[in-house]
Amino acid sequence: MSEPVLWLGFIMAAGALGAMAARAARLPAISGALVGGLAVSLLATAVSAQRPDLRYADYLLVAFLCFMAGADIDLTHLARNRRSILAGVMAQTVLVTALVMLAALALRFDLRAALAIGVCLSAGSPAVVFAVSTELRAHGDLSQRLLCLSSLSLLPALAVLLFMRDMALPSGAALLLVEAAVAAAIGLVILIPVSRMSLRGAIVAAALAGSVIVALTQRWEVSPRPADLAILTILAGFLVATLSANRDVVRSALRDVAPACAVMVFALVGWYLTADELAAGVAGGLLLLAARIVGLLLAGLMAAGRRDALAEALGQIPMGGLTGSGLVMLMLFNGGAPERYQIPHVAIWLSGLVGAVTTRWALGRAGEAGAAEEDPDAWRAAMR
Amino acid sequence: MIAMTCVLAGALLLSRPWLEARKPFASLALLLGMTMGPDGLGLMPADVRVVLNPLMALGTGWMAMLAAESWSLSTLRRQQAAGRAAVMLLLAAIVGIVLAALLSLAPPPLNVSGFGQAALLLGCAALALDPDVSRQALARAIRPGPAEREAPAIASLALGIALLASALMGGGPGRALMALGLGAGVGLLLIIVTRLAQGSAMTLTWLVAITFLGAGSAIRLGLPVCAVTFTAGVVLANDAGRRDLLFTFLREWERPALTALLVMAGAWVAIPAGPGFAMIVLLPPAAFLLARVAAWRLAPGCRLSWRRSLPLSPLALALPLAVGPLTAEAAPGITTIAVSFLLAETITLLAGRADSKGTAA
Repeated sequence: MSEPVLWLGFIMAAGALGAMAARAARLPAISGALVGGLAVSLLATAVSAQRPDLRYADYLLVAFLCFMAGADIDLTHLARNRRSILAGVMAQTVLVTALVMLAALALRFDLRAALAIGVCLSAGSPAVVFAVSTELRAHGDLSQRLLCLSSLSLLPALAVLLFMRDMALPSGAALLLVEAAVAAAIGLVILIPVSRMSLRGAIVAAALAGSVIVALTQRWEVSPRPADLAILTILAGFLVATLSANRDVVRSALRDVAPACAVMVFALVGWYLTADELAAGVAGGLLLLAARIVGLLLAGLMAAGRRDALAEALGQIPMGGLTGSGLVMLMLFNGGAPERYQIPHVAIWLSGLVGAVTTRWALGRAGEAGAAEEDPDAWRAAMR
Repeated sequence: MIAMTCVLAGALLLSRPWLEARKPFASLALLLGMTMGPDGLGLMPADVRVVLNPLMALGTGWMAMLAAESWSLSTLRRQQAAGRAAVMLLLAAIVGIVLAALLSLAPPPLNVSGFGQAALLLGCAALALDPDVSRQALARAIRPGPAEREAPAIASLALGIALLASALMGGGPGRALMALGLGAGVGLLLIIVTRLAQGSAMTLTWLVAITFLGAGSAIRLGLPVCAVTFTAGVVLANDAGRRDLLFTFLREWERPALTALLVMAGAWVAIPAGPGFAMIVLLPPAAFLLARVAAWRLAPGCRLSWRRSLPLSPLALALPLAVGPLTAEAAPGITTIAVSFLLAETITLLAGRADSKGTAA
């Protein structure tokens, strides 16, 4: 049974069921969606050996979610706290990379693979942070800081991935610049419908931004391109929300569809993990996750001070899924212990599951839950 | 991915006219698909017709579910639906048979595969009225008469019958029963899960998930997607508790789904090359529209003016999908319906402009 539409239906239904169960247990919806997606994956292995390729749907939805995460970043907050945020990103990248690299070496990865795993798993997940903060209707310094840290921490991971796929740095950087220009152009094009208050048009345009960037990233078959996808769609979303005069209404419109999109994305993330991979990678994955958490705590102590270190570290536990996908592709197709790719894969899945809960806890503890002031129906009213 | 980008770019380009319902955005979307399609500029790759089949099925599913909005039992009783349905089916059979006979004499590019299938397709397309046109006309009318008040209900009934008949008559009673059963199951499942779901986000998630499930199951079992999702929509329309919320969501995303569907349908249109192709392409649609208008004008109990009966529902373009899986053989059928659609929308637009000029003068 390889019918993609039917599998998508099963995965989304399982994700929605998991999300409802998670909400009933006062857990984040995306944790339930991750488990729901995994359940379908385990069943699928039992039912059929043939698994459909759902990457396009996955990338599109993730690009859409990253676009929305980018649109949620507040330029004022970013500018006001730029030094502290940059210090946080640097501390996180260095400390988490070092500790995760050590853990990877302990798991008998070679030095090159350990470095790649260390850098890639130092990146945060803006998608998880955004999904959790949207669900909580959270607003405040911590949610903005987590969003900025997780988005910016993708950059070092991307740079290392580019370097490690044997691409000469100047051409890799030029390529990234071209892609960034495309993302900026897309962001500016999307401003046109947004400025005329065609917000549903803007939502379609956000999906278009994702698809154009996905189409660009598909040119290289064996590459860590999913990581570009995340950064570029975040950039496009950030531009739209920052430059638009209707930014609050735009954010409100995007936040309206975000929870549904997040459940679908994380159900698909769960689907990509198979029983064999889970069994082979769970011990190593837990070790990598533990190393990341320790690294985040240390980085939090250095950059945010003792008082905020715990909240910042717990809020940052989810790892970047797209940089992780880039890493897995790199390991599978470009050397670097391809037989052990399951370990970082499982670590990313586990970090999403655990991290969503800890991020929710951190935001709740900071008193930011329910603080978003915008009226969820503001964009509908604006359209009328 | 490139094809997907083209579809979304089309939807974006037409985002502004969505707000101005009087603009012929449906024709623009269709023309855009034709221009970007393999037989146009070739921006969409040659395999787009196969690659986007699942997406087209989904768009069709969404629209078909929405088309069932007026199919609640109380509304059907008020409309004396059984009697009207019989008249409509007779009307469709006559139009279909006459046009299929004409088309069988047409040269190869327009030969819809087989007489029976052509009659079925064209007959059902004759029934696919656009309820939105009648609703807008009713909203604009200062003193609406009984015919104007009845027109939206008749159009909704006719569109539903077209969707069901094309799907059910295309594959025999067994397939028909399976499609109805699956659709009812999907509708009931949607009602149950959305009753349990809290908040609009979960309701939207379930709506998308169950539409995927319904469309995917239909594709997997070889059943017509639009019959399955339309039946699910009928079940929803009869659930007083969730009906309003679910149809609000469906309507909120109607235009993007419809635009994407039309762009994809445009990519299916195959315009034959060579001298005189315009005549070949234009004649059958012109005959089809004339037969359609004449039939609706004369149909007892339904009598619609030419302005109400001329515009085709965009779902007519998805009817070949209901008759069977979309293959290259479906292209002539889609081409005939697409050109008819464009012609009808152009005539309606020109007539509207002439009226407004007359009023201004």
